[in-house]
Amino acid sequence: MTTYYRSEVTSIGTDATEMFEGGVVIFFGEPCPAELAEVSVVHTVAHHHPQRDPQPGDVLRVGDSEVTITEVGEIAGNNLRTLGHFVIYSDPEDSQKVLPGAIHAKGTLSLPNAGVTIELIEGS
Amino acid sequence: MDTGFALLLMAALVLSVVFSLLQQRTYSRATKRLGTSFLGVKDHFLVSGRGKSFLRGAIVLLVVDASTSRIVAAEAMVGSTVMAHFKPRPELIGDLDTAVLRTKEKMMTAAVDYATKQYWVTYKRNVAAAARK
Repeated sequence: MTTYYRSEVTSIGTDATEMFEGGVVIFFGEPCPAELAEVSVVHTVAHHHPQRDPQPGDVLRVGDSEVTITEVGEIAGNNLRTLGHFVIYSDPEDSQKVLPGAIHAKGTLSLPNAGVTIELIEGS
Repeated sequence: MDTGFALLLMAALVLSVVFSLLQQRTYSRATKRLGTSFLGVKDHFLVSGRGKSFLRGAIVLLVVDASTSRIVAAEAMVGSTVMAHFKPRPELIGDLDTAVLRTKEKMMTAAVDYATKQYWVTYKRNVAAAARK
């Protein structure tokens, strides 16, 4: 299994905790406007394979917790490459259509601390 | 005025302010979540509307594709408590101008009607701004 994206959490917004509890995590690469940083997990990219976008079956690992990607919005890959941005919806309801910049996943992420590694790993 | 009653009134007012602030934060988080989920998508507008009855209320968030005038994402928070959350409303997806006909509750109808009007005002402002350039 190959890691095609790696970054490090630099800050967690004050409102991000409640979004975590609701099963939604917004990721933004640095620099991130303050208004968005307060609801986001802000991170700094260390490695990104330029031709590999997230796909169903891939694994998103944040620290010790991980989720398996089930669906990817049409511009989520582009947003990840250009802004380090994507929105994870954990275990969404079946009726919930994937939004363009969103990624649906199975499982639950736990709230990270600054310094924790974010990885996207190719599915087996 | 009875001191006990005054204290009770004060407590009710404080609680009301706290609940309003909590609902405002829920609204703010939802708009940011939905907005960032459409980041980078052209000609899409996020609008909201509110409908109220005596004890309950509804707030809707609609994402409208301006190129087709269709609602592509819709969420609503309906209820009377601070525990209410925004939930997807797939029945609202589709043509914007007929969205009110797809609502079943009075306060949802009012909220969608308000959001629809807000969309057209925003859209016209954008068209006017583009024409001035």
